[in-house]
Amino acid sequence: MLRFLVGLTLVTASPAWAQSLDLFTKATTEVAPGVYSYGAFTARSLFVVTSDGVIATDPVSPKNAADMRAAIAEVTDQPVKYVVYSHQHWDHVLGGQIFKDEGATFISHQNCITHFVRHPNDDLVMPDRTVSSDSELTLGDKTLKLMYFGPNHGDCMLVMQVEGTDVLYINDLVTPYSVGLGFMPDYDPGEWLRTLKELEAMDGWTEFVGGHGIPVAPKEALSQRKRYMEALMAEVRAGIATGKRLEDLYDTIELGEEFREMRGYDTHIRRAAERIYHYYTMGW
Amino acid sequence: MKLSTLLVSACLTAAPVLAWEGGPSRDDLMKAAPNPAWNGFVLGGHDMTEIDDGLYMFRMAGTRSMILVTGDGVIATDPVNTEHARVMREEIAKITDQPAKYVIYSHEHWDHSVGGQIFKDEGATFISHENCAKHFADLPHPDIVMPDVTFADDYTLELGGRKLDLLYFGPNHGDCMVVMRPDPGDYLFIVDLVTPGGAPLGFMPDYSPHHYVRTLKEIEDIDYTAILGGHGALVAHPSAVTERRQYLEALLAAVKDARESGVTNIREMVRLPQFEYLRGYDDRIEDNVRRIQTYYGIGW
Repeated sequence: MLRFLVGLTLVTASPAWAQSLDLFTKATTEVAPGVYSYGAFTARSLFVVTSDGVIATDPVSPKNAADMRAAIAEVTDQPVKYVVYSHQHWDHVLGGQIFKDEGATFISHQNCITHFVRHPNDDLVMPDRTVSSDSELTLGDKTLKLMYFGPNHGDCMLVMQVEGTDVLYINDLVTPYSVGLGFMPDYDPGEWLRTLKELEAMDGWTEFVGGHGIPVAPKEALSQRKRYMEALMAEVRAGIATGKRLEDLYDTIELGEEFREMRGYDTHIRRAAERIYHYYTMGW
Repeated sequence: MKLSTLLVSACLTAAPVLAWEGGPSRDDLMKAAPNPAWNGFVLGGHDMTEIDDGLYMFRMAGTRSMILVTGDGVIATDPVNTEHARVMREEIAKITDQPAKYVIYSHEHWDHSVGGQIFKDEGATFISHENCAKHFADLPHPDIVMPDVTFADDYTLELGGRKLDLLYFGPNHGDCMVVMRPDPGDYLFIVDLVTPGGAPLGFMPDYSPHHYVRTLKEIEDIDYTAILGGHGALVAHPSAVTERRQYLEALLAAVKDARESGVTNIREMVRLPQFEYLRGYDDRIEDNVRRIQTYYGIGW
């Protein structure tokens, strides 16, 4: 009872991201009929149960893939027929062998292949098929839409949606109510913001499953991340225009209250400013 | 090649009065790593230095461009920015009446590639690796002149009896970097892959760490006499490349070991005391470690 009360206090008094801060206990959440969000705060994937087998997404790691396979087995006896990679980063794509062993076909955007070849990893299953633009994967009674928005976080990111549902799988472009990694590895900030705007303007969805964080989040969490990026970029651009050096920006950057309450703000804001400074001065 | 090296060494020693920026002598700069003389460069103003026959280096603030004057026109490299390019053009005019026929981009980053319009206006042809053109298109900059000629592997430019080899090593710092080697091959103009005597920029933007190491090894296999630097020391002994390669290998190994041994506060724990003497080490080591954590963590 005491635990319950403490939990209730958290919910009412804390920002939205704090409502589920269990970082490591993996769980399955059905977010639409036959569509499941699987994972913990540290890494999260989508899997889709159709009338003719399962479509899994990011296996994450050998351990996580084994756990996810067991979680799928709790929902259905169907075999996993497809594994779709959201993008190329190792913290999402490793460990697919268990699905390969049962005969799954692996799919990614074709640009991921260049990265997989340049940065080989023993725990990576190479894709069997690639897509180069918006595509559809139909299995049994369901169709998974694979949407490509160009370079943003890397250059092979696919956003996914099971047709007929209002839930997207958006890996890493948004972690709900979080500012994300400070120095934004492999991000193209301008294209990232463009992608967020395109997603915000896109109809037909109200919630999304992120690659990290809470099981499912409202579309507003994406809008918040977009506003954060706009505020961050405007602040750095204004600083550069008034002759501020990188060191000045690094030490003095501060965004509005809405953004200061986002998860990870204190840890990451200075490096985020540094990253955007390089974007505006070096074109990277 | 040995003969040519000897000849140039002699030429270096006998070189006429050079604008050495009041800094270390060429003899000092040509000593092997670790070499404190590499930290003796200046950042203020600008200067043009004759390196060898028809070969010049122009510096403004902290960035350099290589210039090759031939009997049939001038080959310039990185315009850097509009002001850098304007002053560089004035300095070239003090050396020769020849027009600038070519501008070569070392790589795509704006702190080297912006500002070439003044050369475009006099009819220069712009050359870069083909991957740079993709970056320029993806993230346009109003003051970047798009390349007229691109290439996919190595490229040799010939003008007025001179040859300039553009050596492509694949991805390393970005994926369109070329190292430039004017004939007869004694000098390499190396931008950003090594800044002699310094630690790498904090988080190593856009670097592919293992390809970076591979590239430096391939440069070490080249028989040449001196580095011409895009930043830092004007000239340096080739061992500066080895020093950078050894730093990166030590960094990669230390982070990998720490990850595998379960160290949780890697950024505070991993240090490279054997390289503490490098310029910028104290400010950059933690970010360098963070960058390599990302390399091992997400493959970037």
